Amino acid sequence: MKAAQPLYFGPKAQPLFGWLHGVEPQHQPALGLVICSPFGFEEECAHKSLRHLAIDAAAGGIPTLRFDYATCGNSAGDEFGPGTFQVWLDSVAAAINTLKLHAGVSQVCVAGLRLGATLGALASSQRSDVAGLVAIAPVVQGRVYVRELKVLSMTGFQSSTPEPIEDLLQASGYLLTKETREAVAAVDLRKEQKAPAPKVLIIERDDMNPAPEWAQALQAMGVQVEQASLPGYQAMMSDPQNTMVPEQINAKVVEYVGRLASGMPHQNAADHVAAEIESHCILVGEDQLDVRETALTVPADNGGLFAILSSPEAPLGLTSNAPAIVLISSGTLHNIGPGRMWPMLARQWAARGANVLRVDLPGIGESTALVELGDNRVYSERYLESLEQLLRFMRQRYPNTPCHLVGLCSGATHGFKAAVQGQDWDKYVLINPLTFDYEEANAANSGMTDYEVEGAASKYKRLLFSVEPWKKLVSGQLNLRFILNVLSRYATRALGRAFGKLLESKNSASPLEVELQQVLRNRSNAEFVFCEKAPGEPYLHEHGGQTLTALLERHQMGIARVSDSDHTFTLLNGRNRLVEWLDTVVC
Amino acid sequence: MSMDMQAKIRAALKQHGRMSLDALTLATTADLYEAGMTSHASVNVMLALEEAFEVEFPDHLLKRSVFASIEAISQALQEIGVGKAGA
Repeated sequence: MKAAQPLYFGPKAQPLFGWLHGVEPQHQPALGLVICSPFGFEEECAHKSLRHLAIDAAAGGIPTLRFDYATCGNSAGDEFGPGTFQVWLDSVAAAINTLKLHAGVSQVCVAGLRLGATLGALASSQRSDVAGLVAIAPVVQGRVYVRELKVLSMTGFQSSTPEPIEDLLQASGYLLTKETREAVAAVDLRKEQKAPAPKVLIIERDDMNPAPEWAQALQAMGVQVEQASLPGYQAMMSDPQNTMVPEQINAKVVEYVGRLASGMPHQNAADHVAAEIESHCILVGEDQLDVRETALTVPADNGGLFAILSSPEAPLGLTSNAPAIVLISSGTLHNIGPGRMWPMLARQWAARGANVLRVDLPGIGESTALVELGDNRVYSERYLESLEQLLRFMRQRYPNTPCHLVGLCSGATHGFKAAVQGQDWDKYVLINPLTFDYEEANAANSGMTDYEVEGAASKYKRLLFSVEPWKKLVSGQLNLRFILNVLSRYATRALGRAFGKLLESKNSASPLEVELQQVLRNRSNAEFVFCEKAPGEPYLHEHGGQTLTALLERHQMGIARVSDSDHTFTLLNGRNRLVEWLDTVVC
Repeated sequence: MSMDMQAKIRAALKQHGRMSLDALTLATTADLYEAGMTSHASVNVMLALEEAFEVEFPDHLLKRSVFASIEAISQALQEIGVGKAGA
């Protein structure tokens, strides 16, 4: 099996990003597989599973392309433009054409998950080169799907409704305009007049009753329909750090595509001249510099860290003192960051002259795991080596340029640890770290981490003089055992600190303060920013001691707050406020 | 709220709520989000409830408070006719 290659393809005005999983020439593939991702947060969750599907298919001799629709992932465009739904359909068509070009196949199978299955079906029905369609948990009725997004939007926040913005639907950090929403809602696969392909495999989610109407409609059009209900859907759609590859579903898809291929004449590999892979693209700026995006590998212990570099496409002779910036994502979310924040920020800063790298740490997204860590690991000291390797890469590439590290959530924890370690970044921009301690973050035995204890205790303090929580407690609506556990752990920690101070020993500094002392000595510059009620902020204040005060007084450290935001800034207004702040401290 | 309705709600919550507490023994007024239900899980809970009761929540009921407790879900279901004679 060939190594997967990142590539840009599609219209020059709006390039698409994807991964080509090629096969060795001896396979002489009969058809290729195009994988259509779900939309938004579902894509974040399923990214790993679809990557594995592509790897498995290629290993089975099926060249495979997975890609981001225009306005999604690492492809160009944003969600505010007109005709987004059609642009997504055009993206599927471009992906099919690209796979045929690069793999030398004349027929493809399209496999899609959720809205990806819907887009795949609609795009395939306009073509004659799609031999088969695999629809995994397809969105058959767009109207139902839009309702799901609405629930997601309305239940994601403590306040009863998110701030309304010009009729945008904001679902877990992803936006749908009214026009896009209406276009999605108008889809009803059961009423389509043209079949997507002569053969269709529908894999239903196993946790809901199957809806047979679409299969029946396809059969009425003469389509050979196979249906399966296999385990793994719920686990695949768990948060990125908990997601699990649905082995049985992926195996079924590979087996089905293999079966489709077996009935087709094989291509003669000698007849196919492979097209050149484009590993970069140019995004045309409107009133700023154009931006060049390059998919690359940063040399590292795991064999290389996958990253995308956004650089200014500057006219010759134009110099800039804009910084080099590395963006580290939260948890095990791949290089696009939550709600696709990283491509947007990287492009914005590159248009101002900065060189911005968004990267996958080992075992996350597209980067190979370190053997001893495995994949999908959120916290590990080993990531500090990756940060050093990234710094070295950026320093070599952009000498005499300040290098900034920007991390969100666990990415911020890594950044903080790098500052403690004394790495040579010029600035650490640390967004919403939940914890400052790897050991504690990885401790699962107590079932609750110290920062969660601090967060819960802060909440109880706030609600101490409110009547409602006491009523709930008395009527048994609150989990008393849980509350007592929080309070006893909080009290133990507070007593320990107080006792330490009483003794006035050198050891009275908390572990966090000891690390801050190291930051002070290293002369590292760090800027923290927290959303409201973020547990990391009270933790920092309570445990930072006099060293935190000293760092703040010397302006070696700053602490800012973004109002009306959640942990990963899923609401547009909060995100805009974060970006405004980032602009002032980063670029 | 009838026992049958409550049992169906609890079953939907148990299968799709992904809560740290047992949906079968949770107080009817207990806050489901406090109990660990995420917004993503609440989408599946909504779908499961619609399937179990063969109804569709109207748009004005697609909000956080409706899925905040067994009691609130029950009230919403009753509002759209579940549990009434002939419904």
